[in-house]
Amino acid sequence: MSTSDASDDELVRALARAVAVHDPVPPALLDFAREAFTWRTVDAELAELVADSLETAGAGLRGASDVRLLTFTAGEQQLDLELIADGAARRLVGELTPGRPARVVVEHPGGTLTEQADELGRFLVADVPAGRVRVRCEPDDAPPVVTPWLDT
Amino acid sequence: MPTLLCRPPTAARRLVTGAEVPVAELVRSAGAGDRAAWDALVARYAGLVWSVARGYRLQGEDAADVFQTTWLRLVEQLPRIREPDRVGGWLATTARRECLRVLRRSGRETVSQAEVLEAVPDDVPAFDETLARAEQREALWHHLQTSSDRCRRLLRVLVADPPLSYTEVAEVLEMPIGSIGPTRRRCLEQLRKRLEEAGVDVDL
Repeated sequence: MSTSDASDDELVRALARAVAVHDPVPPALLDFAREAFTWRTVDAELAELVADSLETAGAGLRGASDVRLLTFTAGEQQLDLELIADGAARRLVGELTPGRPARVVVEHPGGTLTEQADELGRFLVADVPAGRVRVRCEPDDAPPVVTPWLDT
Repeated sequence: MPTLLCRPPTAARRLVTGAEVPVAELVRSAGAGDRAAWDALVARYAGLVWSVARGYRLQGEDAADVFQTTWLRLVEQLPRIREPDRVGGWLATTARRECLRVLRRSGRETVSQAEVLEAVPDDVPAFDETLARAEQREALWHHLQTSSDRCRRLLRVLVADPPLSYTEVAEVLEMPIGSIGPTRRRCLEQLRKRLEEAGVDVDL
């Protein structure tokens, strides 16, 4: 190894020490990553996001009346979601296609909100905290489906 | 003459973070519900995910958001990871995408009040450390933060703790493995030059 390689390695080691002292992974985040394992779902199919008005229109939920439209699919099941800003909270209006009754669970870091979709697969979940959420649909006659985590 | 690439700065630490278990096996075991395997993945790649977020100069809530979302995505995707031996690259790519999302969001929304880089906790020198060494470290940190985006991202990944293999570094940075060495050399050269201009002794 040449001298300059050796001194480069020495500089990298010094940088590693500087980063380790100045910018370690915050312990609370390490805990979060370990605990994230409890969000593992083995019994539900992960729905794929196929359309998001946030991506197409570039519009976020800024104003009081803004709406974001999302479409997910999982096999034969489609889920359309409207995310509506409601002050600091969000309202979720959803529809399952094909329409069928289902238990709908909105999961967020602080807990869950449960509603029932009617026989046409329509549901409304109010007072969802803004932030990270995912929606789990458990139709009476089909396997459960869960969306990826969304940033609302 | 091929360039010798980086050597992991603290190779011995890999032993305590599950490096002896092939990473593909950790991914498969975690996917099958093995919590210890998951913890080993976190121990192995948390530093990497953090270094990507910080390489984009994200701070506070934004850096935390990227870090958290990246790990939630991995939990979600565990059974679907196509190349489990390349999960490091997968995590880095996911983290990068989340960085861009957060940057887009903050570009739209009102900019949160600036948090000072130096507000990152823990700049307490080790017990028996000389002042000169602490000052050198301060200077290194400062000059790393003010390096070009390309160099800062490369150097952050190179010093991630625990260190990554060459193959992982190449995947994570989406660079051909052969260009990491030359880029690293150029970045270190620039850094050394700036340190010298600032009168910082780099040979402590």
